[in-house]
Amino acid sequence: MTLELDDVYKTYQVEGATRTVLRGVHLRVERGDTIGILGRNGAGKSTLVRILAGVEKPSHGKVRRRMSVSWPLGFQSGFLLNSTGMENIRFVARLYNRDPKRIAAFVDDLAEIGRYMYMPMTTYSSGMRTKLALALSLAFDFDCYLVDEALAVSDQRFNTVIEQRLRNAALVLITHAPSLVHRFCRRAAILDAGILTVHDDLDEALATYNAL
Amino acid sequence: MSAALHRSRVVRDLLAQHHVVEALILRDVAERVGQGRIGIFFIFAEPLVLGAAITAIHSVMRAGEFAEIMMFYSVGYLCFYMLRNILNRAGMVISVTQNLLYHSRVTLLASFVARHIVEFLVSITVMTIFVGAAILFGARLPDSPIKMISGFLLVMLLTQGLAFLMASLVHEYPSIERGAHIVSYIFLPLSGIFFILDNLPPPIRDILVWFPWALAIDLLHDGMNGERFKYHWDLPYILGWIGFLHVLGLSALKRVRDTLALD
Repeated sequence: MTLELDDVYKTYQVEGATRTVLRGVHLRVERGDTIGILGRNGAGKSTLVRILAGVEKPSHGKVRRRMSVSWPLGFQSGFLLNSTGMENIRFVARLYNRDPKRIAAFVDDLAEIGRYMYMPMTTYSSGMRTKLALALSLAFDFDCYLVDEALAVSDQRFNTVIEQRLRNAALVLITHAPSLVHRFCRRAAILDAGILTVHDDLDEALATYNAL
Repeated sequence: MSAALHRSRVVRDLLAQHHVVEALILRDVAERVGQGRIGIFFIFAEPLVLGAAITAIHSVMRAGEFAEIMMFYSVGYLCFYMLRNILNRAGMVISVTQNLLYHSRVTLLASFVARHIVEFLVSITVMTIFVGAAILFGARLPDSPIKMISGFLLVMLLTQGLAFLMASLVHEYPSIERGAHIVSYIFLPLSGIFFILDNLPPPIRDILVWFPWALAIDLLHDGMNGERFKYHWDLPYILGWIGFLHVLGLSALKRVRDTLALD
Protein backbone atom coordinates (compact mmCIF):
# COMPACT_ATOMS: atom_id res chain seq x y z
CA MET A 1 0.00 0.00 0.00
CA THR A 2 1.64 3.15 -1.20
CA LEU A 3 1.00 6.63 -2.43
CA GLU A 4 3.67 7.62 -4.89
CA LEU A 5 4.56 10.74 -6.83
CA ASP A 6 7.00 10.12 -9.64
CA ASP A 7 8.70 13.12 -11.22
CA VAL A 8 5.64 15.32 -10.89
CA TYR A 9 5.56 18.71 -12.56
CA LYS A 10 2.69 21.13 -12.40
CA THR A 11 2.43 24.14 -14.61
CA TYR A 12 -0.36 26.67 -14.96
CA GLN A 13 -1.17 29.03 -17.76
CA VAL A 14 -1.53 32.48 -16.24
CA GLU A 15 -2.54 35.13 -18.75
CA GLY A 16 -0.67 33.45 -21.56
CA ALA A 17 2.49 32.82 -19.53
CA THR A 18 3.46 29.40 -18.17
CA ARG A 19 4.12 29.24 -14.44
CA THR A 20 5.83 26.13 -13.07
CA VAL A 21 4.79 25.41 -9.50
CA LEU A 22 6.10 21.88 -8.90
CA ARG A 23 9.38 20.77 -10.42
CA GLY A 24 10.09 17.06 -10.50
CA VAL A 25 8.59 16.01 -7.17
CA HIS A 26 9.31 12.46 -5.99
CA LEU A 27 7.54 11.14 -2.92
CA ARG A 28 6.69 7.70 -1.61
CA VAL A 29 4.37 7.24 1.34
CA GLU A 30 3.75 3.82 2.82
CA ARG A 31 1.20 2.66 5.30
CA GLY A 32 2.17 3.75 8.80
CA ASP A 33 4.42 6.49 7.45
CA THR A 34 4.05 9.93 8.99
CA ILE A 35 5.68 12.58 6.92
CA GLY A 36 5.62 16.34 7.30
CA ILE A 37 6.07 18.56 4.28
CA LEU A 38 7.32 21.99 5.23
CA GLY A 39 7.14 24.98 2.96
CA ARG A 40 6.94 28.75 3.14
CA ASN A 41 4.20 30.71 1.45
CA GLY A 42 4.39 30.33 -2.30
CA ALA A 43 6.53 27.18 -2.19
CA GLY A 44 3.77 25.15 -3.90
CA LYS A 45 2.13 23.59 -0.80
CA SER A 46 -1.47 24.02 -1.90
CA THR A 47 -0.72 22.69 -5.35
CA LEU A 48 0.98 19.66 -3.82
CA VAL A 49 -2.08 19.07 -1.60
CA ARG A 50 -4.36 19.16 -4.64
CA ILE A 51 -2.15 16.74 -6.53
CA LEU A 52 -1.97 14.35 -3.57
CA ALA A 53 -5.73 14.57 -3.06
CA GLY A 54 -6.23 13.85 -6.75
CA VAL A 55 -8.22 17.00 -7.48
CA GLU A 56 -5.65 18.23 -9.95
CA LYS A 57 -3.63 16.12 -12.35
CA PRO A 58 0.10 16.59 -12.83
CA SER A 59 1.20 18.30 -16.05
CA HIS A 60 3.97 15.74 -16.26
CA GLY A 61 4.87 12.66 -14.21
CA LYS A 62 2.76 10.06 -12.46
CA VAL A 63 0.71 9.74 -9.31
CA ARG A 64 0.18 6.15 -8.14
CA ARG A 65 -2.49 5.84 -5.55
CA ARG A 66 -2.45 2.31 -4.12
CA MET A 67 -4.17 3.20 -0.88
CA SER A 68 -7.18 5.24 0.03
CA VAL A 69 -6.21 8.85 0.59
CA SER A 70 -8.46 11.18 2.58
CA TRP A 71 -9.63 14.54 1.41
CA PRO A 72 -7.70 17.29 3.21
CA LEU A 73 -8.71 16.92 6.85
CA GLY A 74 -11.36 19.38 7.93
CA PHE A 75 -12.06 20.43 4.33
CA GLN A 76 -15.20 22.57 4.26
CA SER A 77 -15.99 23.87 0.79
CA GLY A 78 -17.98 20.79 -0.20
CA PHE A 79 -20.79 21.61 2.23
CA LEU A 80 -24.17 22.81 1.06
CA LEU A 81 -24.84 25.53 3.58
CA ASN A 82 -28.57 25.55 2.95
CA SER A 83 -28.75 21.94 4.04
CA THR A 84 -28.45 20.74 7.61
CA GLY A 85 -25.25 19.32 9.05
CA MET A 86 -26.94 15.92 9.09
CA GLU A 87 -27.84 16.12 5.38
CA ASN A 88 -24.27 17.04 4.50
CA ILE A 89 -22.93 14.16 6.56
CA ARG A 90 -25.31 11.72 4.88
CA PHE A 91 -24.19 12.97 1.48
CA VAL A 92 -20.53 12.25 2.18
CA ALA A 93 -21.34 8.88 3.79
CA ARG A 94 -23.29 7.87 0.68
CA LEU A 95 -20.44 8.97 -1.58
CA TYR A 96 -18.09 6.59 0.18
CA ASN A 97 -20.74 3.89 0.43
CA ARG A 98 -20.80 3.86 4.23
CA ASP A 99 -23.78 3.58 6.52
CA PRO A 100 -24.99 7.18 6.94
CA LYS A 101 -26.37 6.42 10.41
CA ARG A 102 -23.06 5.20 11.77
CA ILE A 103 -21.09 8.06 10.28
CA ALA A 104 -23.63 10.56 11.61
CA ALA A 105 -23.51 9.00 15.09
CA PHE A 106 -19.70 9.25 15.10
CA VAL A 107 -19.74 12.89 14.01
CA ASP A 108 -22.50 13.76 16.45
CA ASP A 109 -20.56 12.23 19.30
CA LEU A 110 -17.27 13.92 18.44
CA ALA A 111 -18.35 17.34 17.25
CA GLU A 112 -20.91 17.87 20.05
CA ILE A 113 -23.00 20.42 18.24
CA GLY A 114 -26.24 18.99 19.59
CA ARG A 115 -29.49 20.13 18.01
CA TYR A 116 -27.60 22.24 15.43
CA MET A 117 -27.03 18.96 13.64
CA TYR A 118 -30.59 19.28 12.33
CA MET A 119 -30.39 22.94 11.40
CA PRO A 120 -29.16 24.50 8.14
CA MET A 121 -25.43 25.07 8.20
CA THR A 122 -26.00 28.76 7.50
CA THR A 123 -26.88 29.03 11.20
CA TYR A 124 -23.54 27.58 12.36
CA SER A 125 -20.70 29.57 13.85
CA SER A 126 -17.37 29.10 12.08
CA GLY A 127 -16.18 27.07 15.06
CA MET A 128 -19.09 24.67 14.64
CA ARG A 129 -18.38 24.26 10.95
CA THR A 130 -14.74 23.52 11.69
CA LYS A 131 -15.67 20.89 14.27
CA LEU A 132 -18.23 19.24 12.03
CA ALA A 133 -15.83 19.14 9.09
CA LEU A 134 -12.99 17.72 11.15
CA ALA A 135 -15.18 15.12 12.85
CA LEU A 136 -16.56 14.09 9.46
CA SER A 137 -13.07 13.51 8.03
CA LEU A 138 -12.18 11.45 11.08
CA ALA A 139 -15.30 9.34 10.78
CA PHE A 140 -13.79 7.48 7.82
CA ASP A 141 -10.88 5.09 8.16
CA PHE A 142 -8.54 6.00 5.33
CA ASP A 143 -5.18 4.35 4.71
CA CYS A 144 -3.62 7.76 4.46
CA TYR A 145 -4.73 11.07 5.95
CA LEU A 146 -3.93 14.23 4.12
CA VAL A 147 -3.63 17.26 6.34
CA ASP A 148 -3.30 20.79 5.08
CA GLU A 149 -2.30 22.99 8.05
CA ALA A 150 -5.38 22.37 10.16
CA LEU A 151 -4.26 19.95 12.81
CA ALA A 152 -3.87 22.51 15.53
CA VAL A 153 -6.97 21.50 17.44
CA SER A 154 -7.02 22.34 21.09
CA ASP A 155 -9.83 19.91 21.87
CA GLN A 156 -8.52 16.86 23.72
CA ARG A 157 -11.27 14.59 22.41
CA PHE A 158 -10.35 15.38 18.82
CA ASN A 159 -6.70 14.79 19.58
CA THR A 160 -7.45 11.37 21.02
CA VAL A 161 -9.34 10.35 17.89
CA ILE A 162 -6.66 11.76 15.63
CA GLU A 163 -4.01 9.78 17.47
CA GLN A 164 -6.12 6.63 17.25
CA ARG A 165 -6.56 7.05 13.51
CA LEU A 166 -2.89 7.69 12.92
CA ARG A 167 -1.89 4.56 14.80
CA ASN A 168 -2.98 2.47 11.80
CA ALA A 169 -2.73 4.90 8.93
CA ALA A 170 -0.25 7.05 7.11
CA LEU A 171 -0.15 10.81 7.48
CA VAL A 172 0.98 13.47 5.07
CA LEU A 173 1.02 16.79 6.89
CA ILE A 174 1.64 19.85 4.75
CA THR A 175 2.35 22.97 6.73
CA HIS A 176 4.58 25.93 7.36
CA ALA A 177 4.75 25.14 11.10
CA PRO A 178 7.72 23.00 12.25
CA SER A 179 6.08 22.45 15.64
CA LEU A 180 3.24 20.44 14.07
CA VAL A 181 5.69 18.32 12.10
CA HIS A 182 7.72 17.74 15.25
CA ARG A 183 4.65 16.56 17.09
CA PHE A 184 3.04 14.28 14.49
CA CYS A 185 5.72 13.12 12.07
CA ARG A 186 8.65 10.75 12.01
CA ARG A 187 10.22 12.19 8.88
CA ALA A 188 9.98 15.39 6.94
CA ALA A 189 10.48 16.92 3.55
CA ILE A 190 11.04 20.49 2.55
CA LEU A 191 9.25 22.10 -0.36
CA ASP A 192 11.07 25.12 -1.68
CA ALA A 193 10.27 26.83 -4.98
CA GLY A 194 8.54 23.70 -6.22
CA ILE A 195 11.38 21.32 -5.42
CA LEU A 196 10.83 18.68 -2.75
CA THR A 197 13.74 17.38 -0.70
CA VAL A 198 12.98 14.42 1.52
CA HIS A 199 14.98 13.98 4.74
CA ASP A 200 14.86 10.74 6.64
CA ASP A 201 16.15 12.44 9.75
CA LEU A 202 13.52 14.69 11.27
CA ASP A 203 15.88 16.98 13.18
CA GLU A 204 18.03 17.50 10.13
CA ALA A 205 14.94 18.49 8.15
CA LEU A 206 13.74 20.93 10.78
CA ALA A 207 17.19 22.50 11.04
CA THR A 208 17.40 22.89 7.26
CA TYR A 209 13.91 24.42 7.15
CA ASN A 210 14.70 26.90 9.91
CA ALA A 211 17.81 27.97 8.06
CA LEU A 212 15.84 28.72 4.86
CA MET B 1 -6.65 1.62 -28.37
CA SER B 2 -6.07 3.86 -25.39
CA ALA B 3 -9.26 5.77 -26.21
CA ALA B 4 -11.16 2.49 -26.17
CA LEU B 5 -9.53 1.56 -22.87
CA HIS B 6 -10.46 4.92 -21.47
CA ARG B 7 -14.05 4.47 -22.54
CA SER B 8 -14.35 1.01 -21.03
CA ARG B 9 -12.95 2.39 -17.78
CA VAL B 10 -15.50 5.18 -17.87
CA VAL B 11 -18.32 2.69 -18.26
CA ARG B 12 -17.00 0.42 -15.50
CA ASP B 13 -16.48 3.34 -13.12
CA LEU B 14 -19.98 4.50 -13.83
CA LEU B 15 -21.48 1.11 -13.00
CA ALA B 16 -19.37 0.73 -9.88
CA GLN B 17 -20.21 4.25 -8.90
CA HIS B 18 -23.94 4.01 -8.63
CA HIS B 19 -23.93 5.10 -4.99
CA VAL B 20 -21.91 8.18 -5.93
CA VAL B 21 -24.52 9.04 -8.55
CA GLU B 22 -27.26 8.36 -5.99
CA ALA B 23 -25.61 10.69 -3.48
CA LEU B 24 -25.22 13.37 -6.14
CA ILE B 25 -28.86 12.98 -7.19
CA LEU B 26 -30.01 13.55 -3.62
CA ARG B 27 -27.68 16.50 -3.33
CA ASP B 28 -28.94 17.99 -6.58
CA VAL B 29 -32.50 17.64 -5.34
CA ALA B 30 -31.53 19.21 -2.00
CA GLU B 31 -29.93 22.09 -3.91
CA ARG B 32 -33.06 22.65 -5.96
CA VAL B 33 -35.38 22.34 -3.02
CA GLY B 34 -33.35 24.82 -0.97
CA GLN B 35 -34.44 25.67 2.52
CA GLY B 36 -37.86 24.48 3.57
CA ARG B 37 -39.87 21.67 2.06
CA ILE B 38 -41.98 23.95 -0.14
CA GLY B 39 -39.12 23.84 -2.66
CA ILE B 40 -40.18 20.33 -3.70
CA PHE B 41 -43.39 21.86 -4.98
CA PHE B 42 -41.55 24.42 -7.11
CA ILE B 43 -39.46 21.76 -8.83
CA PHE B 44 -42.68 20.45 -10.36
CA ALA B 45 -44.60 23.72 -10.42
CA GLU B 46 -42.48 25.36 -13.12
CA PRO B 47 -42.94 22.69 -15.80
CA LEU B 48 -46.57 22.22 -14.76
CA VAL B 49 -47.42 25.88 -15.15
CA LEU B 50 -45.47 26.08 -18.41
CA GLY B 51 -47.32 23.08 -19.83
CA ALA B 52 -50.68 24.46 -18.73
CA ALA B 53 -49.92 27.89 -20.24
CA ILE B 54 -48.86 26.32 -23.53
CA THR B 55 -52.03 24.23 -23.57
CA ALA B 56 -54.13 27.36 -22.94
CA ILE B 57 -52.46 29.30 -25.77
CA HIS B 58 -52.81 26.50 -28.28
CA SER B 59 -56.44 25.78 -27.34
CA VAL B 60 -57.37 29.38 -28.00
CA MET B 61 -55.42 29.61 -31.24
CA ARG B 62 -56.41 26.34 -32.82
CA ALA B 63 -59.53 24.45 -33.51
CA GLY B 64 -59.52 20.97 -32.13
CA GLU B 65 -60.15 18.85 -29.14
CA PHE B 66 -58.86 20.53 -25.95
CA ALA B 67 -57.73 17.25 -24.45
CA GLU B 68 -55.78 16.23 -27.58
CA ILE B 69 -54.09 19.63 -27.72
CA MET B 70 -53.15 19.31 -24.09
CA MET B 71 -51.62 15.92 -24.65
CA PHE B 72 -49.67 16.96 -27.74
CA TYR B 73 -48.36 20.39 -26.78
CA SER B 74 -47.82 20.11 -23.04
CA VAL B 75 -45.86 16.88 -23.42
CA GLY B 76 -43.87 18.24 -26.37
CA TYR B 77 -42.95 21.40 -24.54
CA LEU B 78 -42.03 19.38 -21.50
CA CYS B 79 -39.50 17.50 -23.55
CA PHE B 80 -38.08 20.78 -24.83
CA TYR B 81 -38.05 22.12 -21.27
CA MET B 82 -35.87 19.18 -20.20
CA LEU B 83 -33.53 19.73 -23.13
CA ARG B 84 -33.26 23.44 -22.38
CA ASN B 85 -32.55 22.86 -18.68
CA ILE B 86 -29.81 20.37 -19.44
CA LEU B 87 -28.12 22.70 -21.95
CA ASN B 88 -28.53 25.88 -19.93
CA ARG B 89 -27.13 24.32 -16.78
CA ALA B 90 -24.28 22.53 -18.53
CA GLY B 91 -22.05 25.60 -18.32
CA MET B 92 -22.01 25.71 -14.55
CA VAL B 93 -21.78 22.00 -13.71
CA ILE B 94 -17.99 21.90 -13.86
CA SER B 95 -17.51 24.89 -11.59
CA VAL B 96 -20.00 23.71 -8.97
CA THR B 97 -18.51 20.22 -9.01
CA GLN B 98 -14.89 21.35 -8.60
CA ASN B 99 -14.92 21.46 -4.83
CA LEU B 100 -16.53 18.05 -4.60
CA LEU B 101 -13.64 16.57 -6.53
CA TYR B 102 -11.70 16.57 -3.26
CA HIS B 103 -13.81 13.51 -2.58
CA SER B 104 -11.87 11.29 -4.91
CA ARG B 105 -14.91 9.21 -5.87
CA VAL B 106 -16.72 12.14 -7.38
CA THR B 107 -16.22 12.54 -11.12
CA LEU B 108 -17.41 15.25 -13.48
CA LEU B 109 -19.29 12.57 -15.41
CA ALA B 110 -21.18 11.40 -12.32
CA SER B 111 -22.13 14.98 -11.54
CA PHE B 112 -23.57 15.52 -15.02
CA VAL B 113 -25.34 12.18 -15.09
CA ALA B 114 -26.94 12.77 -11.67
CA ARG B 115 -28.37 16.12 -12.80
CA HIS B 116 -29.64 14.67 -16.05
CA ILE B 117 -31.36 11.80 -14.25
CA VAL B 118 -33.13 14.34 -12.05
CA GLU B 119 -34.21 16.35 -15.11
CA PHE B 120 -35.47 13.18 -16.76
CA LEU B 121 -37.40 11.98 -13.71
CA VAL B 122 -39.00 15.38 -13.11
CA SER B 123 -39.99 15.58 -16.78
CA ILE B 124 -41.58 12.16 -17.02
CA THR B 125 -43.38 12.71 -13.71
CA VAL B 126 -44.92 15.93 -15.00
CA MET B 127 -45.62 14.22 -18.33
CA THR B 128 -47.57 11.55 -16.48
CA ILE B 129 -49.60 14.25 -14.75
CA PHE B 130 -50.44 15.93 -18.08
CA VAL B 131 -51.28 12.69 -19.83
CA GLY B 132 -53.50 11.75 -16.88
CA ALA B 133 -55.21 15.14 -17.01
CA ALA B 134 -55.68 14.93 -20.79
CA ILE B 135 -57.28 11.51 -20.43
CA LEU B 136 -59.63 12.90 -17.78
CA PHE B 137 -60.65 15.61 -20.25
CA GLY B 138 -61.42 12.91 -22.78
CA ALA B 139 -58.22 12.39 -24.75
CA ARG B 140 -57.50 8.98 -26.22
CA LEU B 141 -55.25 6.73 -24.20
CA PRO B 142 -51.64 7.05 -25.40
CA ASP B 143 -50.76 4.28 -27.83
CA SER B 144 -47.54 3.28 -26.06
CA PRO B 145 -46.29 4.84 -22.81
CA ILE B 146 -43.04 2.88 -23.30
CA LYS B 147 -42.40 4.66 -26.60
CA MET B 148 -43.18 8.02 -24.99
CA ILE B 149 -40.77 7.44 -22.13
CA SER B 150 -38.15 6.10 -24.56
CA GLY B 151 -38.53 9.29 -26.59
CA PHE B 152 -37.80 11.37 -23.48
CA LEU B 153 -34.88 9.12 -22.59
CA LEU B 154 -33.34 9.42 -26.07
CA VAL B 155 -33.74 13.21 -26.03
CA MET B 156 -32.06 13.24 -22.62
CA LEU B 157 -29.15 11.08 -23.82
CA LEU B 158 -28.63 13.06 -27.03
CA THR B 159 -28.67 16.30 -25.08
CA GLN B 160 -26.35 14.85 -22.45
CA GLY B 161 -23.62 14.25 -25.02
CA LEU B 162 -24.06 17.80 -26.28
CA ALA B 163 -23.99 19.09 -22.69
CA PHE B 164 -20.56 17.50 -22.10
CA LEU B 165 -19.28 19.31 -25.17
CA MET B 166 -20.87 22.63 -24.28
CA ALA B 167 -19.64 22.48 -20.69
CA SER B 168 -16.10 21.81 -21.90
CA LEU B 169 -16.30 24.72 -24.34
CA VAL B 170 -17.67 27.09 -21.70
CA HIS B 171 -14.92 25.99 -19.34
CA GLU B 172 -12.28 26.72 -21.97
CA TYR B 173 -13.85 30.01 -23.11
CA PRO B 174 -15.89 31.38 -20.20
CA SER B 175 -17.02 34.37 -22.25
CA ILE B 176 -19.36 32.22 -24.35
CA GLU B 177 -21.39 31.12 -21.31
CA ARG B 178 -24.15 33.65 -21.99
CA GLY B 179 -24.31 32.64 -25.63
CA ALA B 180 -24.77 29.01 -24.65
CA HIS B 181 -28.41 29.74 -23.78
CA ILE B 182 -29.08 30.64 -27.38
CA VAL B 183 -28.24 27.12 -28.49
CA SER B 184 -31.30 25.69 -26.76
CA TYR B 185 -33.59 27.97 -28.78
CA ILE B 186 -32.15 26.65 -32.02
CA PHE B 187 -33.66 23.34 -30.93
CA LEU B 188 -37.12 24.83 -30.58
CA PRO B 189 -37.99 24.61 -34.30
CA LEU B 190 -35.59 21.78 -35.10
CA SER B 191 -36.74 19.38 -32.40
CA GLY B 192 -40.15 18.90 -33.93
CA ILE B 193 -42.18 19.42 -30.77
CA PHE B 194 -44.69 21.55 -32.68
CA PHE B 195 -45.60 19.11 -35.41
CA ILE B 196 -45.84 15.55 -36.57
CA LEU B 197 -42.71 15.09 -38.67
CA ASP B 198 -44.57 13.32 -41.48
CA ASN B 199 -47.05 16.20 -41.90
CA LEU B 200 -44.29 18.65 -42.86
CA PRO B 201 -43.78 19.63 -46.50
CA PRO B 202 -41.44 16.99 -47.97
CA PRO B 203 -38.39 19.25 -48.62
CA ILE B 204 -38.30 20.33 -44.99
CA ARG B 205 -39.15 16.90 -43.70
CA ASP B 206 -36.37 15.33 -45.75
CA ILE B 207 -33.86 17.60 -44.02
CA LEU B 208 -35.28 17.17 -40.51
CA VAL B 209 -35.23 13.36 -40.66
CA TRP B 210 -31.44 13.61 -40.38
CA PHE B 211 -31.70 15.51 -37.11
CA PRO B 212 -31.61 12.95 -34.27
CA TRP B 213 -33.56 15.09 -31.80
CA ALA B 214 -36.45 15.38 -34.25
CA LEU B 215 -36.43 11.59 -34.63
CA ALA B 216 -36.44 11.00 -30.85
CA ILE B 217 -39.44 13.30 -30.57
CA ASP B 218 -41.04 11.51 -33.50
CA LEU B 219 -40.84 8.37 -31.35
CA LEU B 220 -42.49 10.29 -28.52
CA HIS B 221 -45.28 11.31 -30.91
CA ASP B 222 -45.61 7.72 -32.07
CA GLY B 223 -46.12 6.67 -28.45
CA MET B 224 -48.83 9.31 -28.07
CA ASN B 225 -50.72 8.87 -31.31
CA GLY B 226 -49.97 5.41 -32.61
CA GLU B 227 -51.15 4.50 -36.10
CA ARG B 228 -52.94 7.73 -36.82
CA PHE B 229 -49.75 9.02 -38.49
CA LYS B 230 -46.66 7.77 -40.26
CA TYR B 231 -43.34 8.00 -38.43
CA HIS B 232 -39.67 8.25 -39.37
CA TRP B 233 -37.78 7.43 -36.17
CA ASP B 234 -34.83 5.11 -36.54
CA LEU B 235 -33.46 3.71 -33.31
CA PRO B 236 -29.99 2.58 -34.51
CA TYR B 237 -29.48 6.00 -36.12
CA ILE B 238 -30.40 7.83 -32.92
CA LEU B 239 -28.25 5.51 -30.81
CA GLY B 240 -25.38 6.08 -33.22
CA TRP B 241 -25.66 9.81 -32.63
CA ILE B 242 -25.82 9.29 -28.88
CA GLY B 243 -22.62 7.23 -29.06
CA PHE B 244 -20.91 9.77 -31.31
CA LEU B 245 -21.83 12.74 -29.09
CA HIS B 246 -20.75 10.84 -25.97
CA VAL B 247 -17.35 9.94 -27.42
CA LEU B 248 -16.75 13.57 -28.40
CA GLY B 249 -18.20 14.97 -25.19
CA LEU B 250 -16.38 12.60 -22.88
CA SER B 251 -13.03 13.22 -24.51
CA ALA B 252 -13.61 16.96 -24.20
CA LEU B 253 -14.52 16.47 -20.53
CA LYS B 254 -11.42 14.37 -19.95
CA ARG B 255 -9.29 17.12 -21.41
CA VAL B 256 -10.91 19.59 -19.03
CA ARG B 257 -10.40 17.24 -16.09
CA ASP B 258 -6.72 16.75 -16.85
CA THR B 259 -6.02 20.44 -16.82
CA LEU B 260 -8.52 21.51 -14.21
CA ALA B 261 -7.03 24.04 -11.81
CA LEU B 262 -8.71 25.10 -8.60
CA ASP B 263 -8.21 28.47 -6.93
